[in-house]
Amino acid sequence: MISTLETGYFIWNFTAWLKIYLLSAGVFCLLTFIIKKNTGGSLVSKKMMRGCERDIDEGFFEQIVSSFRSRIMQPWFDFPFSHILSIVLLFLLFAVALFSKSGVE
Amino acid sequence: MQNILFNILGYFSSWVLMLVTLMIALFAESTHTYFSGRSLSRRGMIVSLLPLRDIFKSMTMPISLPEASVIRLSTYLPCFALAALIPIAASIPFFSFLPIMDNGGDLIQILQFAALSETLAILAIFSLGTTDAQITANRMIRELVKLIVPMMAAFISIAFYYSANGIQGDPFSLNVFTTALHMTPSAPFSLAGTLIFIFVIFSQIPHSNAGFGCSLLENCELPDFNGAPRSMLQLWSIFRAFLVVALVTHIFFPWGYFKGLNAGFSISWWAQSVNFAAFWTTVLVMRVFGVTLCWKVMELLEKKVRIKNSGVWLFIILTTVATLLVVYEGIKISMEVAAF
Repeated sequence: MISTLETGYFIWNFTAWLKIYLLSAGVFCLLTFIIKKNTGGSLVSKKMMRGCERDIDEGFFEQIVSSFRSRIMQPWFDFPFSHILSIVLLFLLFAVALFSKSGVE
Repeated sequence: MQNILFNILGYFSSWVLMLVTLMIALFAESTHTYFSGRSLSRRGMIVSLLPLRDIFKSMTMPISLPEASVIRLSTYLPCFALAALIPIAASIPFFSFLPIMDNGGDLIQILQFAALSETLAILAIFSLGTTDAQITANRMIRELVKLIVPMMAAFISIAFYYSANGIQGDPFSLNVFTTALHMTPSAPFSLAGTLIFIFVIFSQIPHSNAGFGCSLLENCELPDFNGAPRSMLQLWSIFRAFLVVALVTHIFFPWGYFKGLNAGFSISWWAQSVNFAAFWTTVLVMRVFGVTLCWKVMELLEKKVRIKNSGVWLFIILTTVATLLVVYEGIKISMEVAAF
């Protein structure tokens, strides 16, 4: 299978483009699928109108944010050294990506 | 086996780190809307200060589609449209601190993915099957043509200029553009042409007139299309605008100056970090202020030129003038080389 197209003027690495496209599409589709499943899994009537409807509680979004903050974020914030651990986690991601060299095509 | 796992982990880490950089797009959009909202509210216009709130709010709502829609296409095509922007992001130097692709993508391939992404987004809207959706999709097609034509003209004419300049290899490579020869004062026609191109491309970035933001489906457009697919399309429109700004900024970023500034640093990763920070600050400033300025100036010009379809005529004339200026500089160099 041809993975790169190389001429005197350009080199197109098809495999690299395809891999990143399929990975991204897979992740986004999975996310949509999970949201669809969690919010009922079937299509609801067209009465729900984003940004236009009047029957949705104004504080809906704030409630979601508040519960996300109190249930998920707050225990993390309360944990001693959480900020250092966050930096370490990002650094680990960076180090793994850098030294595995697998990301570099 | 261990190697494969380690490779997958590394690849995924690079991908996640790139998404962290994409957060700058959302930050830029919210900063921009905040400023434009403040300015418009002084004139008595009410603009939502939190456009992102609506996007994330509709993520948590049940998916709602019109009865005439092709359900699977309307639900999942926005995901594929958004995914098609990621390879473009990966090929722009500094989009990720780590090169997930070979840094310095090819502009023709970038345009191919941009066209693919736009086509998928337009198909997603068409698949809703309503008359309103058809009107929106037709508008998106017009916006696509108005955005992609000056970009193609800019890339092709600048690549021609580099070919005439004797650049070896791929003249469409973004790495070639970092030599910034087309922006030097010694090439005044090319410099003027590039500046006009920047203005035309920035002014043609699709945006809503109400809040001057880049988010698609604002102002209650297509109210019967709701939930995660709508959010995906809105995120797609914000990322698309940000990628255009990043690509165009890359063309005129003063690479030469920063290379000179970094010469004193013996540590390469430190120089790389300085470039990284400088580039993203420029992109952020351009997105928040530069693009808005171009929108406003184009709006003013359209009002001043009192002919039918003045916007379209201005777009055609400016694109043609810019192309001719850059190509003329290339021809001039070719003639000088031939005379020598």
